[in-house]
Amino acid sequence: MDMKLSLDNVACGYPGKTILENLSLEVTTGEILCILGPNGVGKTTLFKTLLGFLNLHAGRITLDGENVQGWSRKRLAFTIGYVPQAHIPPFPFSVLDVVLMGRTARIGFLDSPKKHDREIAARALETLGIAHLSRRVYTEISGGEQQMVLIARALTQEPRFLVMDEPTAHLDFGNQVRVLQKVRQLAALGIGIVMTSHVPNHAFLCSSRVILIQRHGIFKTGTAEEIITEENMRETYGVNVRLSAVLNESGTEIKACIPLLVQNPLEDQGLLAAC
Amino acid sequence: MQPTEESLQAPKKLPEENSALVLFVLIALLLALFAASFAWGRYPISLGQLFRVIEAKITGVPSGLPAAMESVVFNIRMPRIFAALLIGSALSVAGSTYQGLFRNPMVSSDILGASSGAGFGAAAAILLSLGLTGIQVSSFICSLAAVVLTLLVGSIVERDGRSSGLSLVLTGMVVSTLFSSFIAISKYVADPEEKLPAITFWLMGGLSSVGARDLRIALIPMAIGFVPILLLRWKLNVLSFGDEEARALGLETSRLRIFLIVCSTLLTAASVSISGMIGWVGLIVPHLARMLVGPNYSILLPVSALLGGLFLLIVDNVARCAFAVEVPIGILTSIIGAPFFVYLLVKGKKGWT
Repeated sequence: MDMKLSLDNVACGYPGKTILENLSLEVTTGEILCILGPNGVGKTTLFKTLLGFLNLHAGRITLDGENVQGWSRKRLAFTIGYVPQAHIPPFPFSVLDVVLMGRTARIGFLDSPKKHDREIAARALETLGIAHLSRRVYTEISGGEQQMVLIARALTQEPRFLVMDEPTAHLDFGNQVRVLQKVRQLAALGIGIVMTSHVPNHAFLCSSRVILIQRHGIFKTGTAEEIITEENMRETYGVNVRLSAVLNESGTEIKACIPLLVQNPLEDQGLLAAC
Repeated sequence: MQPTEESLQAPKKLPEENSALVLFVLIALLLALFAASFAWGRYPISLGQLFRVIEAKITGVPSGLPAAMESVVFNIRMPRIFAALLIGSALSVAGSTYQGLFRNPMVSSDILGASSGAGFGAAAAILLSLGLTGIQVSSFICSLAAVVLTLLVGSIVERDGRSSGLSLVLTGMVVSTLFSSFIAISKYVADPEEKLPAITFWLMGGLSSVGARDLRIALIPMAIGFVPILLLRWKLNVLSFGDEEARALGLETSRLRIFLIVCSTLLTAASVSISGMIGWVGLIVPHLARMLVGPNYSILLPVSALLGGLFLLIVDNVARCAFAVEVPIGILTSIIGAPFFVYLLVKGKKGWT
């Protein structure tokens, strides 16, 4: 059954400083919502609020109409999984152990994961195509592989929604594409996905809905086609872009956003005038 | 993810896959050393004599051996052997727990200030003639105060979010120094005939004066500290990934963290209050354990406990048997610990394994 995650007139920010106000949006399971915007406008604030790391300043967050305020961490973990950016933990855990940590909310308070949990972890590794890494040491695998492991960990929580913090950051081109492929696959499996990104094209590729956060707490929401326009990109990032479209093998149109660099590079810096 | 050539290579054996073997060897070694420790010492007792003394004690039939032998076995060596095992385990479990909680492989009770805090608490209690229970309570309170102070100052230093791990170590050293000066003040004002020697002797760290009564009193706080940590060991894995991730995975981190800090500090304070300050055990042993069985606390904690007991029993045997005069055990552990810390610093640059 579909589940709906909604933000109603939310104001969020750090204690004593509100960054975003009057924000309303909805994500249904199976949908992808992409948070776009320049550095420092509140993307991180928004998803930290969504995960309950930051207290709401106003408004409410609901799951199927029920206010999540006051839910225990455990209950929240049943519904929302978090995929952080790949980072190096202080100890060299095995990949399987890292993935098993996703079971924490599902097992008893004093329990350790059992055989049943191991099976779920193994299935998550298979879903992401990294079953061969299970016995490797997490700190020794590549950044792309670590990102996949963290997604697998969130999956073993069996959540309805995944919140992903720039899942493609620091990855090479091939791994970025492979991670996006998995993101789409997970949405097709019925998981709702909220992710932050720096690349507008990723929103097109995931055919997602977009919230574009601009400076001074202004934001726009809609489909990727509605929001990623030449005008909006210029307003938000201060660069000129042109939108183009290509056809994929099945004939579907895929849009792309291509930045336009100034034709004469010297002109850009006023160097021509100086000559 | 496309399997790369490297990722398809047969993975080398993970340390945790040796757990069963490691546990078996550790328990065997521990039992052997436990028996041997009764026999070793300035008053030589053969294993045969040892069994006869124990048999006599159990059956009540006189063994025909000198009464002094029975007294050495039951009144001198037995409390000391149990003290080494318990204190070694307690300090190691506390060290492993602190390392996971603070996501920092370089911390332990001594480095966070817990030990000097407990030391000051005990010195103050001796000064005020508070008795054994008083020493325990006072060392626990001061120990907890020292750890809290280290964490508070540490969080102010790292306020801007740059967590290097080193600042916690440095803050801990500052707090340790502070409490060491408090200890110095207690010694300065102590009555030089009676209290001063008691404090000095106690601070040197040693197991020679631990009696059966001390053990019985320390056992309760040790159990209260140890059992919850053991039961919550899976959660320690999750906490070592940091607060936000642990919360997203379903843990109420702040409550859990405070609870575990109290438990480890209780372990430290209970140890320090009967044996004085025995440094470095809580830093060295968790690392050795991690090398043997990997970082998963499910197996790391039991192995730390066994290995800690074994380690301190070995060091204590060396301290009492290897030289013409008994060497304070704290001095020996420091001689082993200092180079080990340097080794960790060098190795830490390449990632903690």
